[in-house]
Amino acid sequence: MSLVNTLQLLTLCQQGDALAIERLVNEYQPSVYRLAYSILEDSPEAEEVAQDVFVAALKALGSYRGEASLTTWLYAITVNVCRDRLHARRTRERLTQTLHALAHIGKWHHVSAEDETIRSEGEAAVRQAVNALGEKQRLPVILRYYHGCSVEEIAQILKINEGTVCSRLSTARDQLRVRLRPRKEKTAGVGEES
Amino acid sequence: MIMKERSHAKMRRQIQRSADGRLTPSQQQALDAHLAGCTECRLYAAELRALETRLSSVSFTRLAPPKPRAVAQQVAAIQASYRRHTMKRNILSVAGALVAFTVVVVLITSLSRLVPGRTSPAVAPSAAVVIEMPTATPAAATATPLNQPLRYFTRAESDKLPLQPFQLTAIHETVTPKPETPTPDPSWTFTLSVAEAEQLAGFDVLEPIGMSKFLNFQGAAFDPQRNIVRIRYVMGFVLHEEQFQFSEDCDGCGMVGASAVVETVQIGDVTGEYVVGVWEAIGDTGQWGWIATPYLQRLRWQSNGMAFELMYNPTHDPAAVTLADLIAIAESLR
Repeated sequence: MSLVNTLQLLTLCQQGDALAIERLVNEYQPSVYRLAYSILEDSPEAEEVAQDVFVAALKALGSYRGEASLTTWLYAITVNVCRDRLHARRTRERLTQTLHALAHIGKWHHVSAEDETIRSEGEAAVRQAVNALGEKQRLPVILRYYHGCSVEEIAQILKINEGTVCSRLSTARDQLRVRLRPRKEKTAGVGEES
Repeated sequence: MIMKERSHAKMRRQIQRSADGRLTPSQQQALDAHLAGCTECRLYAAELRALETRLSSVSFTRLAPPKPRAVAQQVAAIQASYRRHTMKRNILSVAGALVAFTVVVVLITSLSRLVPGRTSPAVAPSAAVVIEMPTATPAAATATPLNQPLRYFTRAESDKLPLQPFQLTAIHETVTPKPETPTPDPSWTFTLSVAEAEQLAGFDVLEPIGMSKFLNFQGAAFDPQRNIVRIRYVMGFVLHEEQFQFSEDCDGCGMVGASAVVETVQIGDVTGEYVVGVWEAIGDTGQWGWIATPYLQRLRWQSNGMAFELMYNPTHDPAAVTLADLIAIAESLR
Protein backbone atom coordinates (compact mmCIF):
# COMPACT_ATOMS: atom_id res chain seq x y z
CA MET A 1 0.00 0.00 0.00
CA SER A 2 1.50 3.37 -0.98
CA LEU A 3 1.86 6.20 1.50
CA VAL A 4 -0.93 8.28 0.02
CA ASN A 5 -3.29 5.30 -0.07
CA THR A 6 -2.41 4.62 3.54
CA LEU A 7 -3.12 8.22 4.50
CA GLN A 8 -6.45 8.14 2.71
CA LEU A 9 -7.29 4.92 4.54
CA LEU A 10 -6.37 6.54 7.86
CA THR A 11 -8.57 9.55 7.11
CA LEU A 12 -11.51 7.21 6.62
CA CYS A 13 -10.61 5.32 9.80
CA GLN A 14 -10.57 8.55 11.73
CA GLN A 15 -14.04 9.31 10.42
CA GLY A 16 -15.11 5.99 11.90
CA ASP A 17 -15.57 4.17 8.59
CA ALA A 18 -16.10 0.54 9.64
CA LEU A 19 -14.80 -0.92 6.36
CA ALA A 20 -11.65 1.20 6.50
CA ILE A 21 -10.97 0.09 10.08
CA GLU A 22 -11.45 -3.52 9.03
CA ARG A 23 -9.05 -3.05 6.14
CA LEU A 24 -6.47 -1.37 8.36
CA VAL A 25 -6.63 -4.18 10.91
CA ASN A 26 -6.50 -6.90 8.26
CA GLU A 27 -3.51 -5.24 6.60
CA TYR A 28 -1.38 -4.60 9.67
CA GLN A 29 -2.67 -7.01 12.31
CA PRO A 30 -0.37 -9.92 11.35
CA SER A 31 2.83 -7.89 11.72
CA VAL A 32 1.66 -6.25 14.95
CA TYR A 33 0.69 -9.64 16.34
CA ARG A 34 4.03 -11.18 15.37
CA LEU A 35 5.99 -8.40 17.03
CA ALA A 36 3.87 -8.67 20.18
CA TYR A 37 4.33 -12.44 20.20
CA SER A 38 8.09 -12.19 19.74
CA ILE A 39 8.30 -9.87 22.74
CA LEU A 40 5.78 -11.59 25.01
CA GLU A 41 6.03 -15.19 23.76
CA ASP A 42 2.41 -15.74 24.67
CA SER A 43 -0.15 -16.17 21.93
CA PRO A 44 -3.37 -15.07 23.74
CA GLU A 45 -1.59 -12.11 25.26
CA ALA A 46 -0.15 -11.13 21.86
CA GLU A 47 -3.70 -11.18 20.42
CA GLU A 48 -4.91 -8.92 23.21
CA VAL A 49 -1.99 -6.59 22.60
CA ALA A 50 -2.75 -6.44 18.87
CA GLN A 51 -6.29 -5.36 19.73
CA ASP A 52 -5.07 -2.75 22.22
CA VAL A 53 -2.57 -1.44 19.68
CA PHE A 54 -5.25 -0.74 17.06
CA VAL A 55 -7.56 0.91 19.57
CA ALA A 56 -4.65 3.10 20.74
CA ALA A 57 -3.58 3.79 17.14
CA LEU A 58 -7.09 4.86 16.08
CA LYS A 59 -7.31 7.21 19.05
CA ALA A 60 -3.93 8.70 18.21
CA LEU A 61 -4.38 8.90 14.41
CA GLY A 62 -4.34 12.69 14.60
CA SER A 63 -0.73 12.59 15.73
CA TYR A 64 0.40 10.47 12.76
CA ARG A 65 1.95 12.71 10.12
CA GLY A 66 3.67 10.19 7.90
CA GLU A 67 7.21 11.00 9.07
CA ALA A 68 7.73 7.32 9.81
CA SER A 69 6.08 4.47 7.92
CA LEU A 70 2.76 3.31 9.36
CA THR A 71 4.33 -0.04 10.26
CA THR A 72 7.09 1.72 12.24
CA TRP A 73 4.49 3.87 13.99
CA LEU A 74 2.37 0.83 14.86
CA TYR A 75 5.49 -1.02 16.03
CA ALA A 76 6.29 1.86 18.39
CA ILE A 77 2.80 1.58 19.90
CA THR A 78 3.14 -2.22 20.07
CA VAL A 79 6.45 -1.98 21.94
CA ASN A 80 4.88 0.43 24.44
CA VAL A 81 1.86 -1.78 25.03
CA CYS A 82 4.14 -4.83 25.38
CA ARG A 83 6.34 -2.99 27.86
CA ASP A 84 3.30 -2.29 30.03
CA ARG A 85 2.35 -5.96 29.81
CA LEU A 86 5.87 -7.09 30.67
CA HIS A 87 5.90 -4.74 33.64
CA ALA A 88 2.56 -6.10 34.84
CA ARG A 89 3.79 -9.63 34.25
CA ARG A 90 6.96 -9.04 36.24
CA THR A 91 4.95 -7.57 39.10
CA ARG A 92 2.66 -10.59 39.01
CA GLU A 93 5.61 -12.93 38.94
CA ARG A 94 7.25 -11.21 41.87
CA LEU A 95 4.03 -11.47 43.81
CA THR A 96 3.61 -15.13 43.19
CA GLN A 97 7.37 -15.64 43.70
CA THR A 98 7.52 -17.67 40.55
CA LEU A 99 10.97 -18.11 39.24
CA HIS A 100 11.32 -16.49 35.86
CA ALA A 101 13.20 -19.44 34.46
CA LEU A 102 10.54 -21.87 35.62
CA ALA A 103 7.79 -19.79 34.09
CA HIS A 104 9.76 -19.59 30.91
CA ILE A 105 10.30 -23.36 30.77
CA GLY A 106 6.57 -23.76 31.39
CA LYS A 107 5.88 -21.78 28.24
CA TRP A 108 8.05 -24.02 26.16
CA HIS A 109 6.07 -27.05 27.30
CA HIS A 110 2.91 -25.36 26.10
CA VAL A 111 3.23 -26.27 22.46
CA SER A 112 1.22 -23.93 20.29
CA ALA A 113 0.94 -23.54 16.54
CA GLU A 114 3.65 -20.92 16.79
CA ASP A 115 5.98 -23.28 18.60
CA GLU A 116 5.47 -25.85 15.89
CA THR A 117 6.80 -23.32 13.43
CA ILE A 118 9.79 -22.46 15.58
CA ARG A 119 10.62 -25.72 17.20
CA SER A 120 14.21 -26.66 16.49
CA GLU A 121 16.56 -26.91 19.40
CA GLY A 122 18.92 -24.41 17.87
CA GLU A 123 16.17 -21.83 17.55
CA ALA A 124 15.03 -22.51 21.09
CA ALA A 125 18.54 -21.86 22.36
CA VAL A 126 18.72 -18.60 20.44
CA ARG A 127 15.35 -17.46 21.75
CA GLN A 128 16.30 -18.36 25.31
CA ALA A 129 19.56 -16.46 25.00
CA VAL A 130 17.74 -13.44 23.55
CA ASN A 131 15.11 -13.58 26.30
CA ALA A 132 17.85 -13.60 28.91
CA LEU A 133 19.13 -10.24 27.68
CA GLY A 134 18.15 -7.10 29.52
CA GLU A 135 15.17 -5.28 28.01
CA LYS A 136 17.39 -2.50 26.66
CA GLN A 137 19.30 -4.98 24.54
CA ARG A 138 16.50 -7.45 23.90
CA LEU A 139 14.08 -5.15 22.09
CA PRO A 140 16.62 -3.87 19.51
CA VAL A 141 17.69 -7.48 18.82
CA ILE A 142 14.07 -8.62 18.35
CA LEU A 143 13.32 -5.72 16.02
CA ARG A 144 16.55 -6.06 14.06
CA TYR A 145 16.82 -9.80 13.60
CA TYR A 146 13.32 -11.18 14.06
CA HIS A 147 11.52 -8.41 12.21
CA GLY A 148 14.21 -7.06 9.87
CA CYS A 149 13.98 -3.44 11.05
CA SER A 150 16.80 -1.06 10.15
CA VAL A 151 18.78 0.84 12.78
CA GLU A 152 16.87 3.98 11.77
CA GLU A 153 13.50 2.27 12.21
CA ILE A 154 14.50 0.83 15.59
CA ALA A 155 15.51 4.32 16.71
CA GLN A 156 12.09 5.62 15.68
CA ILE A 157 10.24 2.75 17.34
CA LEU A 158 12.12 2.90 20.64
CA LYS A 159 12.46 6.69 20.52
CA ILE A 160 16.21 6.61 21.08
CA ASN A 161 18.98 7.85 18.82
CA GLU A 162 20.66 5.67 16.21
CA GLY A 163 23.98 5.66 18.04
CA THR A 164 22.27 4.23 21.13
CA VAL A 165 20.64 1.53 18.98
CA CYS A 166 24.04 0.52 17.60
CA SER A 167 25.59 0.51 21.05
CA ARG A 168 22.80 -1.68 22.46
CA LEU A 169 22.99 -4.05 19.50
CA SER A 170 26.75 -4.29 19.90
CA THR A 171 26.48 -5.11 23.62
CA ALA A 172 23.75 -7.65 22.89
CA ARG A 173 25.73 -9.35 20.14
CA ASP A 174 28.77 -9.66 22.38
CA GLN A 175 26.67 -11.20 25.15
CA LEU A 176 24.89 -13.56 22.75
CA ARG A 177 28.14 -14.53 21.10
CA VAL A 178 29.42 -15.79 24.42
CA ARG A 179 26.16 -17.41 25.51
CA LEU A 180 25.60 -19.22 22.24
CA ARG A 181 29.18 -20.29 21.71
CA PRO A 182 29.53 -24.08 21.53
CA ARG A 183 30.85 -25.46 24.84
CA LYS A 184 34.16 -26.72 23.54
CA GLU A 185 35.02 -23.24 22.31
CA LYS A 186 34.15 -21.64 25.63
CA THR A 187 37.36 -22.85 27.22
CA ALA A 188 39.50 -22.38 24.16
CA GLY A 189 38.37 -18.81 23.51
CA VAL A 190 38.76 -16.89 20.35
CA GLY A 191 41.86 -15.27 19.10
CA GLU A 192 44.54 -17.26 20.84
CA GLU A 193 46.19 -17.91 17.52
CA SER A 194 46.99 -14.26 17.02
CA MET B 1 51.41 -5.65 23.27
CA ILE B 2 49.04 -3.08 24.79
CA MET B 3 49.01 -1.20 21.50
CA LYS B 4 48.07 -4.41 19.71
CA GLU B 5 45.18 -5.07 22.10
CA ARG B 6 43.95 -1.53 21.64
CA SER B 7 44.10 -1.97 17.91
CA HIS B 8 42.06 -5.21 18.17
CA ALA B 9 39.51 -3.52 20.44
CA LYS B 10 39.16 -0.68 17.98
CA MET B 11 38.74 -3.08 15.10
CA ARG B 12 36.13 -5.07 17.01
CA ARG B 13 34.14 -1.88 17.40
CA GLN B 14 34.49 -1.32 13.67
CA ILE B 15 33.33 -4.89 12.99
CA GLN B 16 30.27 -4.23 15.15
CA ARG B 17 29.60 -0.96 13.32
CA SER B 18 30.02 -2.77 10.02
CA ALA B 19 27.34 -5.27 11.11
CA ASP B 20 24.93 -2.35 11.37
CA GLY B 21 26.04 -0.85 8.08
CA ARG B 22 27.48 2.22 9.81
CA LEU B 23 30.88 2.33 8.13
CA THR B 24 31.76 4.65 5.31
CA PRO B 25 33.23 2.94 2.21
CA SER B 26 36.75 4.05 3.19
CA GLN B 27 36.29 2.78 6.78
CA GLN B 28 34.99 -0.52 5.41
CA GLN B 29 37.99 -0.72 3.12
CA ALA B 30 40.37 -0.14 6.03
CA LEU B 31 38.57 -2.79 8.07
CA ASP B 32 38.73 -5.31 5.22
CA ALA B 33 42.46 -4.66 4.87
CA HIS B 34 42.96 -5.23 8.60
CA LEU B 35 40.88 -8.43 8.54
CA ALA B 36 42.97 -9.80 5.70
CA GLY B 37 46.02 -9.72 7.92
CA CYS B 38 44.62 -10.37 11.40
CA THR B 39 43.46 -13.85 12.36
CA GLU B 40 42.01 -12.77 15.71
CA CYS B 41 39.76 -10.08 14.26
CA ARG B 42 38.86 -12.31 11.32
CA LEU B 43 37.64 -15.00 13.72
CA TYR B 44 35.70 -12.40 15.70
CA ALA B 45 34.05 -11.16 12.51
CA ALA B 46 33.23 -14.72 11.44
CA GLU B 47 31.72 -15.48 14.84
CA LEU B 48 29.62 -12.35 14.66
CA ARG B 49 28.39 -13.23 11.17
CA ALA B 50 27.45 -16.73 12.33
CA LEU B 51 25.56 -15.24 15.27
CA GLU B 52 23.67 -12.87 12.98
CA THR B 53 22.73 -15.76 10.72
CA ARG B 54 21.41 -17.73 13.70
CA LEU B 55 19.45 -14.76 15.01
CA SER B 56 17.92 -14.05 11.62
CA SER B 57 16.90 -17.68 11.21
CA VAL B 58 14.42 -17.27 14.10
CA SER B 59 12.02 -15.52 11.84
CA PHE B 60 8.77 -14.56 13.43
CA THR B 61 7.55 -13.45 10.07
CA ARG B 62 6.95 -17.15 9.36
CA LEU B 63 4.43 -17.29 12.18
CA ALA B 64 0.86 -17.85 11.17
CA PRO B 65 -1.31 -14.91 12.18
CA PRO B 66 -4.32 -15.54 14.42
CA LYS B 67 -7.25 -17.30 12.79
CA PRO B 68 -9.58 -15.16 10.65
CA ARG B 69 -12.38 -15.61 13.17
CA ALA B 70 -10.20 -14.17 15.90
CA VAL B 71 -9.30 -11.26 13.61
CA ALA B 72 -12.99 -10.62 12.83
CA GLN B 73 -13.74 -10.55 16.56
CA GLN B 74 -10.84 -8.17 17.05
CA VAL B 75 -12.08 -5.87 14.29
CA ALA B 76 -15.53 -5.75 15.93
CA ALA B 77 -14.00 -5.04 19.33
CA ILE B 78 -11.72 -2.34 17.91
CA GLN B 79 -14.59 -0.69 16.05
CA ALA B 80 -16.79 -0.75 19.16
CA SER B 81 -14.02 0.68 21.29
CA TYR B 82 -13.28 3.42 18.76
CA ARG B 83 -16.99 4.30 18.49
CA ARG B 84 -17.14 4.70 22.27
CA HIS B 85 -14.02 6.86 22.15
CA THR B 86 -15.43 9.04 19.34
CA MET B 87 -18.76 9.45 21.15
CA LYS B 88 -16.99 10.43 24.36
CA ARG B 89 -14.78 12.88 22.47
CA ASN B 90 -17.81 14.44 20.74
CA ILE B 91 -19.68 14.78 24.03
CA LEU B 92 -16.63 16.38 25.60
CA SER B 93 -16.11 18.80 22.71
CA VAL B 94 -19.81 19.82 22.73
CA ALA B 95 -19.60 20.28 26.50
CA GLY B 96 -16.38 22.27 26.07
CA ALA B 97 -17.95 24.46 23.40
CA LEU B 98 -21.00 25.09 25.63
CA VAL B 99 -18.74 26.05 28.53
CA ALA B 100 -16.68 28.35 26.30
CA PHE B 101 -19.85 29.91 24.84
CA THR B 102 -21.24 30.49 28.33
CA VAL B 103 -17.97 32.08 29.44
CA VAL B 104 -17.96 34.39 26.39
CA VAL B 105 -21.61 35.41 26.92
CA VAL B 106 -20.97 36.08 30.60
CA LEU B 107 -17.86 38.12 29.78
CA ILE B 108 -19.59 40.15 27.09
CA THR B 109 -22.59 40.80 29.33
CA SER B 110 -20.32 41.85 32.20
CA LEU B 111 -18.20 44.13 29.99
CA SER B 112 -21.23 45.79 28.41
CA ARG B 113 -22.39 46.75 31.86
CA LEU B 114 -19.04 48.41 32.53
CA VAL B 115 -19.11 50.55 29.34
CA PRO B 116 -21.19 53.71 29.85
CA GLY B 117 -23.77 54.50 27.18
CA ARG B 118 -23.68 50.99 25.66
CA THR B 119 -26.91 49.15 25.84
CA SER B 120 -25.88 46.10 23.83
CA PRO B 121 -22.45 44.68 23.14
CA ALA B 122 -21.06 44.77 19.61
CA VAL B 123 -20.24 41.13 18.99
CA ALA B 124 -17.78 40.47 16.22
CA PRO B 125 -18.63 37.60 13.90
CA SER B 126 -16.85 34.41 14.83
CA ALA B 127 -13.78 33.47 12.82
CA ALA B 128 -14.81 31.88 9.55
CA VAL B 129 -13.38 28.65 8.30
CA VAL B 130 -11.37 29.38 5.19
CA ILE B 131 -12.76 27.49 2.24
CA GLU B 132 -10.46 27.19 -0.73
CA MET B 133 -11.99 28.56 -3.90
CA PRO B 134 -11.52 27.08 -7.35
CA THR B 135 -9.03 28.94 -9.49
CA ALA B 136 -10.23 30.62 -12.62
CA THR B 137 -8.16 33.27 -14.30
CA PRO B 138 -10.24 34.53 -17.21
CA ALA B 139 -7.50 36.71 -18.71
CA ALA B 140 -5.05 33.87 -18.93
CA ALA B 141 -7.75 31.44 -19.98
CA THR B 142 -8.60 33.47 -23.08
CA ALA B 143 -4.94 33.89 -24.02
CA THR B 144 -4.25 30.17 -24.37
CA PRO B 145 -6.18 27.12 -25.42
CA LEU B 146 -7.70 25.45 -22.38
CA ASN B 147 -6.83 21.99 -21.17
CA GLN B 148 -4.27 21.33 -23.86
CA PRO B 149 -1.20 19.28 -23.09
CA LEU B 150 1.81 21.51 -22.67
CA ARG B 151 5.28 20.99 -23.99
CA TYR B 152 6.51 21.64 -20.48
CA PHE B 153 9.54 19.48 -20.62
CA THR B 154 11.49 20.89 -23.51
CA ARG B 155 14.12 18.38 -24.47
CA ALA B 156 17.78 19.40 -24.49
CA GLU B 157 20.03 18.16 -27.28
CA SER B 158 22.23 16.31 -24.85
CA ASP B 159 22.36 15.20 -21.22
CA LYS B 160 25.00 17.83 -20.47
CA LEU B 161 24.43 21.54 -20.57
CA PRO B 162 26.51 24.60 -19.71
CA LEU B 163 23.52 26.43 -18.33
CA GLN B 164 23.02 28.80 -15.47
CA PRO B 165 20.99 27.47 -12.56
CA PHE B 166 18.07 29.86 -13.17
CA GLN B 167 17.62 28.41 -16.65
CA LEU B 168 16.83 25.00 -15.24
CA THR B 169 13.66 24.39 -13.35
CA ALA B 170 13.22 22.09 -10.43
CA ILE B 171 16.83 21.56 -9.57
CA HIS B 172 16.99 19.58 -6.38
CA GLU B 173 17.70 22.07 -3.61
CA THR B 174 20.42 19.98 -2.03
CA VAL B 175 22.40 19.86 -5.26
CA THR B 176 21.84 23.43 -6.34
CA PRO B 177 25.10 25.19 -5.52
CA LYS B 178 24.49 28.84 -4.82
CA PRO B 179 27.56 29.90 -2.88
CA GLU B 180 27.46 33.33 -4.44
CA THR B 181 24.06 34.06 -2.88
CA PRO B 182 24.58 35.32 0.66
CA THR B 183 20.88 35.50 1.49
CA PRO B 184 18.32 32.73 0.90
CA ASP B 185 16.51 32.88 -2.40
CA PRO B 186 13.00 34.17 -1.48
CA SER B 187 11.46 32.26 -4.36
CA TRP B 188 12.50 29.06 -2.56
CA THR B 189 11.99 30.28 1.02
CA PHE B 190 8.72 28.95 2.31
CA THR B 191 7.72 31.55 4.86
CA LEU B 192 4.45 32.84 3.41
CA SER B 193 0.90 31.74 4.06
CA VAL B 194 -1.19 30.74 1.04
CA ALA B 195 -3.20 33.96 1.40
CA GLU B 196 -0.03 36.08 1.37
CA ALA B 197 1.26 34.25 -1.70
CA GLU B 198 -2.09 34.72 -3.45
CA GLN B 199 -1.96 38.44 -2.74
CA LEU B 200 1.53 38.74 -4.21
CA ALA B 201 0.76 36.58 -7.25
CA GLY B 202 -2.66 38.04 -7.98
CA PHE B 203 -4.31 34.69 -8.55
CA ASP B 204 -6.01 32.08 -6.40
CA VAL B 205 -3.87 29.16 -5.35
CA LEU B 206 -5.34 25.70 -5.31
CA GLU B 207 -4.73 23.34 -2.40
CA PRO B 208 -5.13 19.56 -2.13
CA ILE B 209 -8.49 18.95 -0.56
CA GLY B 210 -9.04 15.89 1.61
CA MET B 211 -5.31 15.37 2.06
CA SER B 212 -4.38 18.61 3.77
CA LYS B 213 -4.39 16.89 7.11
CA PHE B 214 -1.64 14.52 6.04
CA LEU B 215 0.16 16.66 3.51
CA ASN B 216 1.83 18.67 6.22
CA PHE B 217 1.80 22.28 4.93
CA GLN B 218 5.14 23.93 5.59
CA GLY B 219 4.79 27.24 3.82
CA ALA B 220 4.42 29.07 0.55
CA ALA B 221 6.98 31.03 -1.47
CA PHE B 222 6.59 33.52 -4.27
CA ASP B 223 8.91 33.95 -7.23
CA PRO B 224 8.29 37.52 -8.46
CA GLN B 225 10.50 37.06 -11.52
CA ARG B 226 8.31 34.38 -13.03
CA ASN B 227 5.17 34.97 -10.96
CA ILE B 228 5.21 31.45 -9.57
CA VAL B 229 3.70 30.39 -6.27
CA ARG B 230 5.31 27.38 -4.63
CA ILE B 231 3.82 25.47 -1.74
CA ARG B 232 5.85 23.03 0.25
CA TYR B 233 4.44 19.99 2.04
CA VAL B 234 6.63 17.74 4.18
CA MET B 235 5.72 14.27 5.39
CA GLY B 236 8.66 11.93 5.10
CA PHE B 237 9.00 13.36 1.63
CA VAL B 238 8.93 16.88 0.23
CA LEU B 239 6.17 17.79 -2.16
CA HIS B 240 6.29 21.13 -3.96
CA GLU B 241 3.26 22.47 -5.69
CA GLU B 242 4.02 25.15 -8.25
CA GLN B 243 1.38 27.29 -9.80
CA PHE B 244 1.74 30.04 -12.39
CA GLN B 245 -0.18 31.64 -15.19
CA PHE B 246 0.47 29.94 -18.47
CA SER B 247 1.89 32.02 -21.29
CA GLU B 248 2.92 31.16 -24.82
CA ASP B 249 6.64 31.68 -24.19
CA CYS B 250 6.24 29.32 -21.27
CA ASP B 251 8.60 31.20 -19.01
CA GLY B 252 8.10 28.73 -16.20
CA CYS B 253 8.74 25.75 -18.40
CA GLY B 254 11.73 23.54 -17.86
CA MET B 255 14.20 21.57 -19.85
CA VAL B 256 14.94 17.90 -19.48
CA GLY B 257 17.90 15.85 -20.68
CA ALA B 258 17.96 14.32 -24.13
CA SER B 259 17.53 10.86 -22.65
CA ALA B 260 14.65 11.80 -20.29
CA VAL B 261 11.50 9.75 -20.62
CA VAL B 262 8.48 12.04 -20.58
CA GLU B 263 5.27 10.18 -19.92
CA THR B 264 1.89 11.55 -20.94
CA VAL B 265 -0.69 11.04 -18.22
CA GLN B 266 -4.35 11.84 -17.67
CA ILE B 267 -5.27 14.10 -14.76
CA GLY B 268 -9.05 14.27 -14.62
CA ASP B 269 -10.01 15.57 -18.04
CA VAL B 270 -6.67 17.17 -18.85
CA THR B 271 -3.42 15.71 -20.10
CA GLY B 272 -0.23 16.20 -18.16
CA GLU B 273 3.39 15.21 -18.41
CA TYR B 274 5.46 13.24 -15.95
CA VAL B 275 9.22 12.95 -15.82
CA VAL B 276 11.68 11.32 -13.45
CA GLY B 277 15.09 12.94 -13.12
CA VAL B 278 17.08 15.99 -12.22
CA TRP B 279 19.87 18.24 -13.46
CA GLU B 280 22.87 18.04 -11.20
CA ALA B 281 26.06 20.10 -11.21
CA ILE B 282 28.96 17.96 -12.45
CA GLY B 283 31.75 18.89 -10.05
CA ASP B 284 33.16 22.30 -10.91
CA THR B 285 33.01 21.74 -14.65
CA GLY B 286 30.38 24.43 -15.05
CA GLN B 287 28.17 21.84 -16.66
CA TRP B 288 24.90 20.32 -15.61
CA GLY B 289 24.23 16.66 -16.18
CA TRP B 290 20.80 15.05 -16.51
CA ILE B 291 20.38 12.15 -14.11
CA ALA B 292 17.29 9.93 -14.26
CA THR B 293 17.03 9.50 -10.49
CA PRO B 294 13.72 8.62 -8.81
CA TYR B 295 14.62 11.16 -6.11
CA LEU B 296 12.94 13.85 -8.16
CA GLN B 297 9.65 13.20 -9.89
CA ARG B 298 7.69 15.94 -11.60
CA LEU B 299 4.13 16.07 -12.83
CA ARG B 300 2.99 19.07 -14.88
CA TRP B 301 -0.30 20.04 -16.36
CA GLN B 302 -2.42 22.99 -17.34
CA SER B 303 -5.96 23.74 -16.36
CA ASN B 304 -8.11 26.82 -16.88
CA GLY B 305 -5.20 28.96 -17.97
CA MET B 306 -3.06 28.04 -15.00
CA ALA B 307 -0.01 25.83 -15.09
CA PHE B 308 0.73 23.43 -12.26
CA GLU B 309 3.61 21.27 -11.24
CA LEU B 310 3.99 18.76 -8.43
CA MET B 311 7.59 18.02 -7.53
CA TYR B 312 8.11 14.97 -5.37
CA ASN B 313 11.39 14.73 -3.43
CA PRO B 314 11.38 11.50 -1.42
CA THR B 315 13.71 11.50 1.55
CA HIS B 316 13.70 7.75 2.08
CA ASP B 317 11.78 5.43 -0.20
CA PRO B 318 11.22 6.82 -3.72
CA ALA B 319 8.36 4.36 -4.21
CA ALA B 320 6.44 5.65 -1.18
CA VAL B 321 4.45 7.93 -3.46
CA THR B 322 3.60 6.54 -6.86
CA LEU B 323 2.62 8.32 -10.05
CA ALA B 324 -0.98 7.32 -9.29
CA ASP B 325 -0.65 9.08 -5.93
CA LEU B 326 0.67 12.24 -7.57
CA ILE B 327 -2.24 12.17 -9.99
CA ALA B 328 -4.64 11.71 -7.06
CA ILE B 329 -3.10 14.73 -5.32
CA ALA B 330 -3.27 16.71 -8.58
CA GLU B 331 -6.94 15.83 -8.98
CA SER B 332 -7.66 16.86 -5.39
CA LEU B 333 -6.49 20.45 -5.98
CA ARG B 334 -9.40 22.82 -5.45
